[in-house]
Amino acid sequence: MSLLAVDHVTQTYTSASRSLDVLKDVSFTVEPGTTNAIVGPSGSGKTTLLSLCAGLDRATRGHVMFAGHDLGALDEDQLAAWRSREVGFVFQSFRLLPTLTALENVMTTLELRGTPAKEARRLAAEQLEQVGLKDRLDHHAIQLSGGEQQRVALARAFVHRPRILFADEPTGNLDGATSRAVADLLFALHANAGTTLVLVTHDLALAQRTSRILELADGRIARDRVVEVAAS
Amino acid sequence: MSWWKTLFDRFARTYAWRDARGSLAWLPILVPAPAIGVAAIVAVSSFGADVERAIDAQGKELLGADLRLQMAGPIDESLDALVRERAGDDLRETVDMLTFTSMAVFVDGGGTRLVQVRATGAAYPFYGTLETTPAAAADLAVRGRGALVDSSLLSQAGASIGSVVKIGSREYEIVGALDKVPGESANEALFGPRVFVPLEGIDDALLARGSRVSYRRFYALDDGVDADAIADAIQEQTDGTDVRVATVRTTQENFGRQLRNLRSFLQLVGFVALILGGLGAGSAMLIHLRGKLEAAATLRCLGARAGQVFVAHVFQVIALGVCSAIIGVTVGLAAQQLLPGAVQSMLPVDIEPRVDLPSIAVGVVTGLFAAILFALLPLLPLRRVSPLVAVRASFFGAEGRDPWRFAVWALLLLAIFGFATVQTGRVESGLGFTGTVAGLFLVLAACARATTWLARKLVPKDIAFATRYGLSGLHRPGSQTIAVLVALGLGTAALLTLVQARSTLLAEIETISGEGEPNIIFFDVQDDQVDGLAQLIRAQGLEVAQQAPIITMRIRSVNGVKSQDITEDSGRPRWALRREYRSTYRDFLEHTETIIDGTFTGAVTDLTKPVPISIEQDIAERLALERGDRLVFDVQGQDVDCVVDSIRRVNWRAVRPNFYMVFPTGVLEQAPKFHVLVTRADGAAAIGALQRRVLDGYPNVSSIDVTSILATADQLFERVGSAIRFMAAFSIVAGLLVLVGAVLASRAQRVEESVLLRVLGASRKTVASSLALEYAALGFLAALVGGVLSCGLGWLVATQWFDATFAFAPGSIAIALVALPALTVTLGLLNRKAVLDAPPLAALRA
Repeated sequence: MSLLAVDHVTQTYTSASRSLDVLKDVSFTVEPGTTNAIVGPSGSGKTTLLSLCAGLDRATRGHVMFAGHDLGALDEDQLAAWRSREVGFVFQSFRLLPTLTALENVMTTLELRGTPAKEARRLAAEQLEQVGLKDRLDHHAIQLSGGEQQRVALARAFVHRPRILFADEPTGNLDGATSRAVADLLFALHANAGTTLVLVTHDLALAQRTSRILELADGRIARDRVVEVAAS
Repeated sequence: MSWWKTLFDRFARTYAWRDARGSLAWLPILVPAPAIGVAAIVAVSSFGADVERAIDAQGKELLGADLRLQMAGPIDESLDALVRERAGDDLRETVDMLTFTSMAVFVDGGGTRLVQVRATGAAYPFYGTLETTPAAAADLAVRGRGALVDSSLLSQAGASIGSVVKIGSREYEIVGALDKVPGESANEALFGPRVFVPLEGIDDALLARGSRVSYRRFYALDDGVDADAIADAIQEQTDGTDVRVATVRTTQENFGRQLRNLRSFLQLVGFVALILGGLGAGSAMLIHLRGKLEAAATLRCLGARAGQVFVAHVFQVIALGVCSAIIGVTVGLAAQQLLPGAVQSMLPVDIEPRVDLPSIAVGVVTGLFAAILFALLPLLPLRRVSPLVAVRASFFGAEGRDPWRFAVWALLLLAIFGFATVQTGRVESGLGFTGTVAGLFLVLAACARATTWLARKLVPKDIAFATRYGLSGLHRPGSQTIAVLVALGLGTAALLTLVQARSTLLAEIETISGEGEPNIIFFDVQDDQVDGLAQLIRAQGLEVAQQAPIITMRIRSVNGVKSQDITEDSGRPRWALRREYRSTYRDFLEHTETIIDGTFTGAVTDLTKPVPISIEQDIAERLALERGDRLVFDVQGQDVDCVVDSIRRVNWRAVRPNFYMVFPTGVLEQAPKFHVLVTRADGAAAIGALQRRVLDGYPNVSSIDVTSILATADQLFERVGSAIRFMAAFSIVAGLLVLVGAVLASRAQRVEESVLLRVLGASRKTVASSLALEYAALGFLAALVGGVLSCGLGWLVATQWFDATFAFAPGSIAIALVALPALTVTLGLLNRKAVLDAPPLAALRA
């Protein structure tokens, strides 16, 4: 069974004067353990698709199924509980909680799942060590560089071993060298945890490192191709 | 998971604590404004407890005895016998006192003055002491022929200890200055300065019929005697009409009731400061939470439920409320020490401030409640924050109106109503206060919105950049202009209304004592003195503007029902039925009177028919009387059957004797009476000379110089105003704290803008000018809004309360228009250094 199935999804945004179909009858599946990139020009619907897959928004028509369960049937609290168990999230602008230290940011994911604080602290510290931030545990976001912030975000996304990780332009705010380092880390963590990856990116080099690329254009999947040599 | 379970959610607690620890910089912004409101409530509530404790502890000193009988004539010996019989051997001592108004002549050139004479014996008071300078003067005065004169009068009259004061035909050496009388506040001296003289040797002519003499007898009883039971027995015997009985308990109750009113008033003013502080904190919280929306959305992406995010922030608000309460209680306890000084002149007791735990609890609970309620409004959007906010910067989150906002507003109004009702003890007052507060805030908010709108519309587009940019700050998205204007505007309005009301009062008194209007009233003139006194006045080249006979009477029955049988249900209040009426007779209407119903009958000859009388409009309404209703008056023992023939409107503001009841001639001429004569003299010298001559010839005749009322009213207003100013200061401070909060809250935004402007080529001077201009405009608009509102409130006070013409006081508004901008610019430039010195590169990178 596919881990994620997007079934004839249409997303329409309506304003007072007009309605806009951002996604039009989109269908695809994602298999467990795979790495997938969604690419396309600005306004093609990439982020909207990612938001629907992660249960951040609800489709106007169609279904998003995770492990056979329709996300549309879950209420807001059930969706939140599902995300805390099964999903990791990495944002373009890092989105570290600014008032929390790096360690506390990572602990947050575990604590939302009900992990006791002591255990969460230990696991978070281990994860931060794994991403090379052993010496930055007590630093706040403002005290970290962009690359370091994104590494904290990766640690936060992987620490609870989610079954699927969504990343929205994970290297979009980073310079070339840092971008490559973060990408390396992302794929290393994926390999280590076996987490399924779904990335939205403009970065073709990053997309080329996934096993499959879905190209969106004008709200539809224009092309769905398997990358022959995926870097890992 | 239900919401109440979320309250115990571990993650919500943990996140609240961690996030709060990282948001400590906001504490100085969010805490002080509500704290000042808590301080006001704690100060007033503690002060109230101090007063109650003082009244409890000083009950006997308030009365000066265990029991007091008071009558308009000599004490009824059968009542005295009743007291002696009930008290038996436990009656220790009695002492009499006569009180009346009379003219005092300061023989050594100090002029004359209407005073309250207290003639009493050596034993007075049994409890407490007459405080005098020198201290031994009290004994000297009441044992010998010496007089004690209110210290304020002594200095006004230019007299000193050792000089002579003449009361009636008797001269007394002034042996001391009177500083304090047990059970009386300093304000009583304003209504009539007090002069204590020995009872023995008082001029009998001063006690002539028509003089308003109050006879009092004080009783000292042994401990254990039930004075209240004796008082009840007396009341039963007299039906309470002519005699007043006071015990320690009733005195405490009376003072307690009066002071509770003062306390309630101050408490409500303090509550307004709390509302202002809450609004300010809520407004700053809005900015604070705007920055939290993205973090909340991120948490939602990580799997937090909306309820967890919301409750985490509610915990923080509770913590903020606790901080505000702690600081507020500390400041309030300090302010409690200052409050007695502001209202001491109104207090008959000595206050010793003490820590009062229930008052602290009231402050803490009210402060917490206010902090939570006002923060709930900006907190509500967190309940509905969408995780999409974390993904799309342009996505705002919840859409549509949140019905809970209305619920929170309703809860706020309910809380205000509840507090006001508890404070005043009356639902109507609670409703009135809530309506007034809501109305004031709505008006202020509307004024604030209108002025910012005007600032946007009317500022020319082609003026200098610094000016245009500074003024545009008033209506920038997220600006706290409205909150600051409401808070500062209300405080300013309170202070300016006080000035306007005072100006109205003084203008009114000046008007009524103005050119051509009578300004001296002679009263207690006996029948055989009228012609002589009128001649004396004319001999000075003055005119007798009015002469009126006055006959005292009481209502015996209304439409055949005895006044004592008429119940309150009839709509006729007991006091109006039982009071003594001072009526006159004449065959003409004064120019201050207008008949509004019926016809005025000037004279009657047929005494077999009911006497047609004219009744003043207000008292006719109070007594529910209409034309044709029948009244029987007890005119000093003689019943007079009357019919309401006409109803008159009277201009009470005119300085001349005005009356509720006017009889026609031909009825009361033979009744015992006294007279009032009114004249006008210009200049203090002429007034003083006339008063001296009248007193030389007619020692029993008293006079009032209307111009002296002006000084008295001014002093009284000044003293009452000090209490209002004290509480208004809390509102002003709350308003300034709201401004400081707004300034600090917008620091990051200002820094970013400043950097951008400087990158684009603006000089530091340009940026500083635009900042200063924005805050100057804010202060100016707050003063303008406050000024406009104070005119409205001043007009209301003038027309509804003083029944006077509103007197605009432009000077005070002008001062506010200069002073407030100076203050707001000073506070607004708190950010100056951070804004102007921020290195562009660092700021842009951040």
